[in-house]
Amino acid sequence: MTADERRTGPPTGHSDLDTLADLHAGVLEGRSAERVREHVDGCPQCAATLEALDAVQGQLHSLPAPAMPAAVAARLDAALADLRTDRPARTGATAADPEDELARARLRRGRRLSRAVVAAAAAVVVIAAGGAIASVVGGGGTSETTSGAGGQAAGAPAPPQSAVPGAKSAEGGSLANDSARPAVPDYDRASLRAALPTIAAQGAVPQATSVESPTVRAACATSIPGAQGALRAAQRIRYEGRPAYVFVYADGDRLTGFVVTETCGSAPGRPATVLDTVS
Amino acid sequence: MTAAERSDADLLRAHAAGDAFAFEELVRRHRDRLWAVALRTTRDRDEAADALQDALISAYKAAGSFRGDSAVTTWLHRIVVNACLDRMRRRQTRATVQLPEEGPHEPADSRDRVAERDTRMVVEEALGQLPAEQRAAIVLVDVEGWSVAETAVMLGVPEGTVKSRCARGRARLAVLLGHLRNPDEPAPVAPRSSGGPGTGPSSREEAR
Repeated sequence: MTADERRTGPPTGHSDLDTLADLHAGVLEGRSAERVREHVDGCPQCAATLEALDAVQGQLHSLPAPAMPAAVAARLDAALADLRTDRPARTGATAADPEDELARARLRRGRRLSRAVVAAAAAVVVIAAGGAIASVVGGGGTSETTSGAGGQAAGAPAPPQSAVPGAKSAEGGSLANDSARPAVPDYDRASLRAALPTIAAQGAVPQATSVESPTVRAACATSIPGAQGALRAAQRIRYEGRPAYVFVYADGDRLTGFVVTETCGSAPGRPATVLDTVS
Repeated sequence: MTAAERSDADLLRAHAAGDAFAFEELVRRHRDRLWAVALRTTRDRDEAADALQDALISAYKAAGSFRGDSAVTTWLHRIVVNACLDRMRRRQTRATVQLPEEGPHEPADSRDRVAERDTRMVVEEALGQLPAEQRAAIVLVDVEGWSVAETAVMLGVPEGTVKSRCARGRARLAVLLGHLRNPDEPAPVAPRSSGGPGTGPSSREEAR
């Protein structure tokens, strides 16, 4: 036993730190583990080393989780929202119904407009967060240039923390800017029912950044009583003339649209007020 | 019952099947932990943000290839850790240490609080001195509390490799954090001061 130690350990006769750390981490097995353990049992110095390794683990374990900076969160949200809006719709794309075809054509038009809105909205969020490139968007420009500005900003160093509340207010304030936005489709019960498959196929049409915010959307979606299945789309609409959101759920083949008041998007945590359920 | 209660695997499946929001919900669930891992692995906030974004975009696109032989969180961590290590290899960036302290503003209060915060900073800085792959293993196992088996999947290495990376890392940290002397230094002579009456056997002190 002593001879073994002399072979594996430093001249002091103790196991070296790496060997003890291996024992501690369960790297050693069988005979070699036994041999080191036997030594440790009779050696206060090596036992203290194992305790020190325990202490290290304890310190590591109690490190607090760093909070994700709001600017990083906003950037991630924007990146994922971009992916979502670029994604080809998978539902309804094969339907050949002429009425659908018409509706799709209408929606394609709407979609192009709304793409520009997404880009602008994303840029607004980035500007609010970053502040530095406000002049780029101030110049207006096409959707390409604005989204380019957004992309550039995303690659830039994290903006100062102080700018963060701005990002929030840009998000929450979107409802107030409505008049500047392209027309939101107006539905009544029958036309909404007819449009459900196309809305579902379209997924998110970010006519309002409030619905675009995953946090707000989740708060709203989960507060809809009776919603079942998979959330397929959330869109800003007008319903019988009043501003609203429609959340489309798919439960098997059955699509259900929940029309909720616009406050759903601006007051996370408040239960959604369902104006109508269409399926 | 409602969409919000779907499991991670449900959400990933729903995403692959065309659910427009499932992926974002999945990310929202896990992003704080993913962020913590990315930040501690890269040691740099911008690098961590870039790596996390790249990783989530790949995960978004690769969701269809998720085979379910590990948990969704394990799969996400694997993609994030890989993105971090890849970036670090590519850029060979030497970590600028700028860790936590931007959390909720703790009032400049009690001495204990300050001491506690200082200790954390010391631990974070010591972590920063480990080689990236050792650090990733330590962060996942010791800081985040993942099992060796899960960590092995996340890092794409055998469990034995995780264990020995952890062993090397902890040994190094024990020295850096002052629990142990540097093994390369000459043997100690003076014992520590007494722990007070009635504490452990004198052999403890002799051990130092």
